[in-house]
Amino acid sequence: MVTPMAPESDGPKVFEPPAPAIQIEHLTKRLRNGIVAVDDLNLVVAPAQILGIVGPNGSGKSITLRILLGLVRPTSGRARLFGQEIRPGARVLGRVGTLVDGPGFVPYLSGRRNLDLICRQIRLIGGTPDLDGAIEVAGLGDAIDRKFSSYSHGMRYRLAMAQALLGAPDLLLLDEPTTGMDPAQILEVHGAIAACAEAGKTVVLSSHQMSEVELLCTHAAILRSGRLIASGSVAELIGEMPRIRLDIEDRDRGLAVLRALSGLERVDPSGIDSVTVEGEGLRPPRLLDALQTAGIRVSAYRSSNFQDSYLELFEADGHGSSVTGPKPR
Amino acid sequence: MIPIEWYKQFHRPKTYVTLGIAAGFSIVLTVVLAATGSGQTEFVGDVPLLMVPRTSGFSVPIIALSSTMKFFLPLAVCLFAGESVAGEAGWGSLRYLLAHPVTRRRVLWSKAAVAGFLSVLAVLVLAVVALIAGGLAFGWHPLSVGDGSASTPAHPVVNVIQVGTTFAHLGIGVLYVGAGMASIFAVAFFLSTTTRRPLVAVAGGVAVTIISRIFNADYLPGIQVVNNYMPNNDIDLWQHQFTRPADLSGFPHFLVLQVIYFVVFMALAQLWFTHKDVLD
Repeated sequence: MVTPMAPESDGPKVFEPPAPAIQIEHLTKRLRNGIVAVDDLNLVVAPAQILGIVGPNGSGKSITLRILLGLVRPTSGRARLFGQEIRPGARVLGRVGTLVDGPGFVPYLSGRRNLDLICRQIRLIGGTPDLDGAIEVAGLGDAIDRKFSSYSHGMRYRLAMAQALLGAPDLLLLDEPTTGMDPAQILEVHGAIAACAEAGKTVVLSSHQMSEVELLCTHAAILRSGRLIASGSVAELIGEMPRIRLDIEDRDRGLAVLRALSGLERVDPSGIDSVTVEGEGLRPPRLLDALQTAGIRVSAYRSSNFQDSYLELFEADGHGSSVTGPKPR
Repeated sequence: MIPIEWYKQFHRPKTYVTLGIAAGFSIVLTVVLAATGSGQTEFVGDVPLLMVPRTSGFSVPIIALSSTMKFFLPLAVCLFAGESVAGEAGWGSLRYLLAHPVTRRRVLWSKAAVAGFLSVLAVLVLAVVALIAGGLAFGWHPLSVGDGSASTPAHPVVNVIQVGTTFAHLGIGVLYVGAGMASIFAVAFFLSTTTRRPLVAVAGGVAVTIISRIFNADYLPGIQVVNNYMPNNDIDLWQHQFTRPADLSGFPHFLVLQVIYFVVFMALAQLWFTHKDVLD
């Protein structure tokens, strides 16, 4: 067997820019039921990026990850990992660790035995998995020797994270790795992902939680119905312009009051009872005073975050305009 | 990949329960024959084969194979073959298995090899346990078989088959029944690649066995043509070794049929599995 992790060039040293960890070009996947799960997707992920893929259920996040793993064949377009074309069982998959659509283990075997079987599979193709390290990552204590079927939801996900890291991957593809976890467990998984990032690994993580993406990711891609509606660095997507979100009692009247103020570039509704305000003349006391004078109660006020950007981009897309890249200002 | 698959299947409760039932059946059969056998001749299977079970232990594996080859053994084979791929898809571990640098073909054939071995093992366990238990209970004596078509109550025609010959006939019988499972195995294995519900694949294999039985000229005269190509209608031909004269003329047709079913459905399994989108 050939070692997939072997360095490739012993020949003359020619400078080449490192291949992107992921390169997706015009990727389309039409499922057998006719639904277009991925629609002309273009995406490049540089090494050491932490990319968050966000979008509602059915937006094509999982299926995109499955295409990258060689599990699903694209209808058209191409996807490469580290410059190598993806086929089912492609060699480059030896550099990938994954958690996709939840944990999947042999139910009647222990967590340790399950990891051991995967180690044996990795060794078959010349990899050097670290079983003890993975067991430590799982952090299941004595439960590692209990049957997988007896594990709680959180324990299953921890075993799945350990499994993803087993082969010392350069690229991690994680599909909603913190689904259904309690806050302490989420913190642990976030720690593990941050450690991977620190170690220079590329991480792609799909998530429902914008706070998770904002916290962990350097970049984000927003999918909707298989289309990319925005992508870029998280900072770009949130926007550098000062922006404030206010939860107020009477939105429509509030909008009128705020729009009457000078120095604000944008005053837009951003929810049933909230407005987003943007512009150089943004000073919280001024806004609050104006609203109070008009007799409108402000229940919450905070600076804008990724969630707001996400919703805005979504709304913009929903109104027919096609937004790609950071919002123009 | 084969040792990995073997580890998974061999440590599976369903595997040893199935093999345990095969062994248990032979033991129970021996006990029942020892306790209630009347010492009279009894028909075995559909052929005019008469024997007195208690006169020779060799009768026990013959009866055991005859009474399981039409339902229990096909069911066991469908379990091993049907659960093979679909079971893993159902647990959600198939996608992780395939998200490694390993060809789907290799995964598929490792699974087929292990499931096939377990299927053969089920037939062997049944026969060997019956042979040992029967011998311990009744002794490994030469086998006396009555020719049911030539005998009349007044003039029984009895042939005595020597131990060596009986042993050889029995060995061929085990191989024949084992080979006769190939068609059902391949059908269940193919179905296993198409679903994430193992029960669908198992039930599909069993359904083919039953349909094959229904298309029997005995019940439905006039469809002899279809009957000839059903996968396991002739599973009982090995019993004809024990009649005199032995009639083995149906062997080649049956074995060729098995090979055809096996090759076609295993090829379909490979075609499907190597091309399908893994969405489980």
